[in-house]
Amino acid sequence: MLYAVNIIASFSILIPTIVGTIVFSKLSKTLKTLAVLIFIGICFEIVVFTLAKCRINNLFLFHIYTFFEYGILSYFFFQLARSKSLKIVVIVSAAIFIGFSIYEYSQGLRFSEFNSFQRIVENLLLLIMILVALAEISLSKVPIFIEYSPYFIVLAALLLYVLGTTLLYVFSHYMIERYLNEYWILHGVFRTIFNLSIALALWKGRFESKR
Amino acid sequence: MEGQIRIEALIYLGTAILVLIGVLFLLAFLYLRRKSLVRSTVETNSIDEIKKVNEKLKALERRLNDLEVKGKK
Repeated sequence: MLYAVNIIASFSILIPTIVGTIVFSKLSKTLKTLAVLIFIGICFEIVVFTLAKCRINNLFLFHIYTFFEYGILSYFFFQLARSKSLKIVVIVSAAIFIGFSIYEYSQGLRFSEFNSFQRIVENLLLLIMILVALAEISLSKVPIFIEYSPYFIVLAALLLYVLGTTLLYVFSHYMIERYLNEYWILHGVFRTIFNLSIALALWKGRFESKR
Repeated sequence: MEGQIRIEALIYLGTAILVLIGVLFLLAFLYLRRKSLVRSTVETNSIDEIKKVNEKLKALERRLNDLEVKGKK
């Protein structure tokens, strides 16, 4: 069951990749940033999968991917921001994330370990940025039917992904020590939902005005 | 063993609660935004109507004044 969900989660990134490739030229700059995250994500997925098949420790890739993921998502929020407050939140959050990462590596976090604390901090900072972005959207009257906006779909998908995976990262050391791998099924489920939502957002984004 | 079961239950239950909070938050966000948009639209429409009626009243007042002046003559 876990294996099947992991396979589905890994392959689900193919859908936003295909959609992103087809509509890339029609996307706004903000959505292009998101498409780039997906393209980088699929490259990592292939390497992670290959190393796992060769029984080589691939945890170091998650460290690198976390930086890519956080950096690109921060840039996405920076481009999305209309107000100065969200831009300030993005810059301050990036400074906190980099500061925390340096602290963790200086305290002896190895690349062969799972970077759970870094992921928790990433999720919390993303949560703050999502809430500030939603607050900014709530003040704007355009578009009226915001639920069909690709930006809202991305924010909603990211919110559910962040909320769904945070507890897993909190207990990740506990699970890894006891070989409780079946809980990562939750991560696979939320990852699949996230990927499908991004595919939908990119597809809808082809009609969106440049932003 | 019991502690392990509690933590495992906490992972599933906690995640379910967090996601439920997220979904409810998004639904409440959409509902409140729609409500505030409808209210502001109604208010804007009312202001526009009041302005139109006000202009009509002013035009009628001007016409009445003109008639009064003509009547005196």
